[in-house]
Amino acid sequence: MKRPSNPVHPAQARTQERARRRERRRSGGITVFVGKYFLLFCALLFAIVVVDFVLYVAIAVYGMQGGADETTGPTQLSTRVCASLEQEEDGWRLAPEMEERLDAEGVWGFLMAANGSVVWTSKGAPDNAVLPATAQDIALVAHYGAFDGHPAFVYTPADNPIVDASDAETPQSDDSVAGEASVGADTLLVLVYPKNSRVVFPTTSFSGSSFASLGAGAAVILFVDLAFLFVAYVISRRSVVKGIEPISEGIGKLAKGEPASVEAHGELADIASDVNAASDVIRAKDSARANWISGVSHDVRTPLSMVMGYADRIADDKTVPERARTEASIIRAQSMKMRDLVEDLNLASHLEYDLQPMRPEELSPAALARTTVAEFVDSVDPALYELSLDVDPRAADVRFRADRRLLGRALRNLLQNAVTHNPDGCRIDVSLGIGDASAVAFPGGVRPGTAWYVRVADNGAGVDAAALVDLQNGPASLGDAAQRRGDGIAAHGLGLLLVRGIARAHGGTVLFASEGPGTGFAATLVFPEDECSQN
Amino acid sequence: MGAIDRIHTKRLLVVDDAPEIRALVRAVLEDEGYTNLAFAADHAEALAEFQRFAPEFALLDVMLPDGDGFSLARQLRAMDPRLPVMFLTAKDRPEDRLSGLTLGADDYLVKPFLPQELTLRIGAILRRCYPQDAANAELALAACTVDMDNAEVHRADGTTAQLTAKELSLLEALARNAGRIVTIDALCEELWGPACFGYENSLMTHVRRLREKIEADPSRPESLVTAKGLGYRLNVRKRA
Repeated sequence: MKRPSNPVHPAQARTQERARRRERRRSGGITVFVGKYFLLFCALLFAIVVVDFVLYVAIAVYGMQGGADETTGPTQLSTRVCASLEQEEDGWRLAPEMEERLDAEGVWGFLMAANGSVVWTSKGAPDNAVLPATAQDIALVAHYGAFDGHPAFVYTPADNPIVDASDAETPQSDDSVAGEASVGADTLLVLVYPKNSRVVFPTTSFSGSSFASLGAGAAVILFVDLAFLFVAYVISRRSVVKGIEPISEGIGKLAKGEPASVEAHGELADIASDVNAASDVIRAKDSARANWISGVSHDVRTPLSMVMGYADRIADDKTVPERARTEASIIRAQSMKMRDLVEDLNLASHLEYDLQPMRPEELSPAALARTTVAEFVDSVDPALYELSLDVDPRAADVRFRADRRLLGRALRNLLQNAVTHNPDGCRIDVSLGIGDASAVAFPGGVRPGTAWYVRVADNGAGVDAAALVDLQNGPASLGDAAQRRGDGIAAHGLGLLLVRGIARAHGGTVLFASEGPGTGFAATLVFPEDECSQN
Repeated sequence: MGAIDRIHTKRLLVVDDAPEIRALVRAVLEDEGYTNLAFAADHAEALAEFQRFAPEFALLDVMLPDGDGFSLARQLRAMDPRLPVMFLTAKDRPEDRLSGLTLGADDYLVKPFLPQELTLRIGAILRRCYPQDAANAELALAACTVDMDNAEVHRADGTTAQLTAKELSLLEALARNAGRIVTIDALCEELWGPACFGYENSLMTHVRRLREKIEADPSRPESLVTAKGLGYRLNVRKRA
């Protein structure tokens, strides 16, 4: 399972792509945003105008055909009435079928002669109707389209070309608009409709000049309206995008395995609460997994105590044959490795899922290094391993905020790593010092100032350049290791994974160095110095 | 070794619900020479044993079937406030250790453990809590024996030397952890209390003076040896 020398991890690639997208969105800024939405908006308006126009034409045609009303329009009706009026000796008479029709529609009317006298009144006329007697009366009726509160229409046969044109013809049917020109062109026919059956728009007027500028005025109004609508549109889009931003960030966090807590209002609140719920579920699963690991490690400890304890007793029992004692000491050594493994796994899972927050305290790295190395010296065969600790006087007084147990564990794991890879013994030099921080890539970026480091260097087997690159890019968490599948923990060891994890949790990093096989190996934990750490 | 070692006759109570752990601890402690041992599997048994046995030291498992070891420790301490308590735990989570120590536990040991880790720690606690009974009232070194009660060094050539209070504390701290490295920091804390920085030179002075009294050749120490950069280790003559 060899990976290419410069692997780009799928999850990493996704993260980069997301960052690029976000960057693009930001760099475009307001002009791209407005331009994009202006085009969208114009297209939307155009569609609205087209749809409106089609609808308007349809409605107009329908209305002109009389709509859904039972009553006939005034023009149509007037024409027919005029055609059906006949002058007889005792005055004007409307054909009986037309009178019926007027009654049926609730319409009545009268005919006014050129001299202003009413010469005919339909049979449906109310008894108390006060017919117009003066030019002013009839002018008002014509102007307001109302007679005594009823819609009223004034019609003169002279206006109607249909009537003129069909002078000679006899009506073919009742519905025919053509009729005999029996009514003089100098008369006025007034039809009065039932109340509320027609809506009348009295005429109004504009000054000649302002009417001419009406077109321009309408254009200005239209433009202002459009601008107004566009601003409203942009604001609404903007608020949607703004609402989405935290949600997209939250989902990005989830993708990185971090807990997300998104707050959003309005329409997006539901999505936000879903993201939060997903985060809670993931977190619950993480904690279930960590608890599971912790439970397993707990349950393994008692049987392991037996293995270790009895193997140790056999190995140290002088009455037992030499060979059995040797084998027992192998069992003891291996069971101690298992103990380390169990502890590393448990610590790594807790560190990873952030279940036990670190318990940082201000400590002296020099003292911690002395304690850790001293304990380690007591646990290895002094005939095989020669350990020394060298503390740079400048680093002796450094103070650092860290979790004592975790930092000690990281150093111990580096020491154990040196022993594991050099089973035939070696010299291990531990040194604590201060260096320039600017050359070190810390998780939080390059930091100015100084850094303190602790280096574990052995003169043993060493590694080649490719293995060194692998080590340097090894996983720093169980999640990383799992994503690499197969070769993660196996190739890099849980011990070093934990070292990376602990270094990262303290804002530091671990660097590996080796000149090649047989030249020794060095691992250096580097941490940025706190502002207040030097005293 | 003239003094009677009364440490190994102390009454030790071991509480653990796993019978195999009790068997292992029994074998280890009996091999180490402890003769007065009592065992219990849970709170109820432990309290009954406490009444019957009046232990002088308790080794408690943290997880017990009828409650945790911490509450048991509180109960036992309520009856005997000076009872040394050590925890044996199958958990290595910090809060367990922490509550163990804030409770006034004298030490704790995480399973799995090596038998010698257990006996060293128990021995250290007993010697610290019952100094009058400790066998190392007389300390046997390569070039001398040290009467810790009187702070007197009896050298092989018949001469004697008197230890200062600081030298005695230093020797005691090293003797408690005989055979193991005691770091400079731990020794400074022993001599001058916590938060003692910059006392390393004073420590070296005391070590040099102590060596002049207990070593045959102070420039080539056999008993009080330096672990370079780390601290010091006291090698004692093995008990016969």
